[in-house]
Amino acid sequence: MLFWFELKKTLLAPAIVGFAALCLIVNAVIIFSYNISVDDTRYDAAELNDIFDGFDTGDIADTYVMRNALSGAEEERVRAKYADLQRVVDEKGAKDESLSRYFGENSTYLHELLFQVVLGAITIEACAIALFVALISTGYENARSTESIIYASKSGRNILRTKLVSSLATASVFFLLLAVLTLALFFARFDWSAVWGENVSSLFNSAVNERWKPFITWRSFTVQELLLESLGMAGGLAFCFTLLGFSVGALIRNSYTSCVAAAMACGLMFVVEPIAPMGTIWRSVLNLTPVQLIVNIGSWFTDGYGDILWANFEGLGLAVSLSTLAVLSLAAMHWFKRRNLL
Amino acid sequence: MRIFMLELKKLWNWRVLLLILAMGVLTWFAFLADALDSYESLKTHGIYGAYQTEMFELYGDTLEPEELADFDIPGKKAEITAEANAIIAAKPVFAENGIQNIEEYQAFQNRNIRNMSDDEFEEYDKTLSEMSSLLDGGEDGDLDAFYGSPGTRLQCLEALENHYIDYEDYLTTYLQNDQRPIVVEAAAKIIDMDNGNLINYRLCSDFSLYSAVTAVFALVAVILLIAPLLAVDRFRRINLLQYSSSIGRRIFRIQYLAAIISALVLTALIVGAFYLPFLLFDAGKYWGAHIMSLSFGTGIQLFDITFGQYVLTLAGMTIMLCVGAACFAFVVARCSSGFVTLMIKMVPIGAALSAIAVLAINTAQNSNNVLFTMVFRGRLSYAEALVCCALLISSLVLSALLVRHERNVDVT
Repeated sequence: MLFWFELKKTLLAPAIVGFAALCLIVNAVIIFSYNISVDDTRYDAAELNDIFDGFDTGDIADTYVMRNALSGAEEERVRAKYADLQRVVDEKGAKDESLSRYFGENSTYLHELLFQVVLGAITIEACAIALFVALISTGYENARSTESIIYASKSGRNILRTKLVSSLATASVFFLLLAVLTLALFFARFDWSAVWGENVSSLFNSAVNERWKPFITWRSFTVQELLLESLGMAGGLAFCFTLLGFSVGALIRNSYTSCVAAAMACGLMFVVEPIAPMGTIWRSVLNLTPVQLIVNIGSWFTDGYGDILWANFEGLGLAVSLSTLAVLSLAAMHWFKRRNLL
Repeated sequence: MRIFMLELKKLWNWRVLLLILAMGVLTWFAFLADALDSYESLKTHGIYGAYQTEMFELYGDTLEPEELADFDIPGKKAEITAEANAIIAAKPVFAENGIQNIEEYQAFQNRNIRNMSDDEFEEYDKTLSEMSSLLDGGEDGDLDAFYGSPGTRLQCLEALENHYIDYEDYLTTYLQNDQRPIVVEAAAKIIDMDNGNLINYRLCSDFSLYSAVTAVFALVAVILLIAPLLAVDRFRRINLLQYSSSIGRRIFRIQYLAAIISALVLTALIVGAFYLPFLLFDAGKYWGAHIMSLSFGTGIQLFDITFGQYVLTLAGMTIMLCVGAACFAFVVARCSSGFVTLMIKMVPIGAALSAIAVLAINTAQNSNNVLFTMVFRGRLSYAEALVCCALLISSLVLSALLVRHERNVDVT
């Protein structure tokens, strides 16, 4: 019963509903502002050469080393990663994965449109809503001056557990709403039915924001598989932001301070990563934070850029972020139960 | 006056200022320091090498025909060609491949590789790398060696020739094909000026991007500073006490004025703090130089103003956007029941203002500017500044209407 009351507070909050509606409008504008034809799939049959046959991943390492003037341990780490990737590329070559047609010469543009622009918009919006929902939920009693009544008893203090569950549920609802409606609009505008079974490591596709590099994934993905796994990642990140908002809201009583602290935490995760030197372990660790996972959305499941040293960094990052934030949330709940609210 | 000073004191909270300072330091190290390094590097490591900087130091901001003749680009090219030919003659790898001079080397570089087998390509690539290391400074990432090599210096001089001697064909395509009247007018003026501008070709584009990042940071800082003012009063129910008398109702107007002045001062401080390093490093020497020019790759700088006027224009646009943001934050804070709902409303407003800041300030007054080209179709002079001005006026009108409305509003 309490769960439904808490769910109603956040699910029907006018500000959240209005924000979600605005997000859908923005997504519609993004989708309709692009004018790429999916019917005009052009490719020269003579161009169908397996690019992974004899491909040397050391060339990619050379480019990153030269571009960032790396040396010593940093250079070795980047080269070690691409040495590991060689085995994956050889397997792709053996299976002829690059001979997939995808969208021909329009592959890169359409792939970036879905997997970076549209999915990026859905993820950022869902994560923002998740953060706000958790902050609203934890700050509700403080805003309405009912803290002294509700938190005076032990069972009152346990309401925080219900708030966490209802915040996660609300974040899921809004994520699904945004994803389903946005993707429905996207696929109504751009017909992808012909390419669901195509391999994303097509010779016509290239790494997001790095057209000189093929799209190399650590595992083999069809378009459908990549979309589903990316949506799973996005949902996981929405949970991360719910946990972040919940932790901050439970630890900091003042609503304004908790909002600023949550914004600062996100800002720090965004701003600190570029400061760490390329090729260092620190830089790779900072890329595992929820904000940097969103920034790197176009390179999920791939070798990433030169600053990511580990395979499957996105899964690793999600696992680390979720577990850290879950522990933080539980600790915040535990501390809140004993907290003096005078 | 006393109430005004007290409201200012509420706004200039040391915790918020410390937060803004910390964010400013992080923004500097994360984005602006690199942008400055990149601009510094391009003074000598850009498409013209160090030649354009050298010409500015010799001849000032404009290049006259006799000065161009004095610089003698063909003569310099001939010297470097001779130097390259001497290297080609001395190293056996060239003779082994039938190359005797720089022209034959360039033909070898541009050989068609499509019909080569894998073995042939591997051999060709190895040979080309060896030749390139002798003539183009190699591939080990040493920029000084690369830009000091004869091959690269020759390319820089050829780019310089395109810019100052062979520019007319390129500008004529603008005159004949461009649909944007202001761009066509600017192209005609630049042809009359013989495209003789010697400012660094990346000066305006790099500075405008740097200013855009500064503007986004200033927007966030202003919103952080202004948003709590009304929200705190409403949270503590102090507004009910204020509204209980006609003197108390004037406090809302005083808070509004305090918010605008604080936004103005904070933005001016941020702009000053971030602009100074860029200007002091090198760009300050172009302060009095005119910026109207064509640069290949960075478009046409459309108006015949000095770099100093350009800097002040971008600073003015930043201040207009930030004061506008302060007014919007003030209105939204009045209409929000709590901090979280205030933040939820400010996120899309802040995002929209940041997007406008980037679109307006980055490549401002350039033919590549998105607002100028896509929205105004190249028909409105100073379009970017006018957009910022319109935003400021609309936010001032909206907030002034709210202030007027609050005098008689019923508070329950």
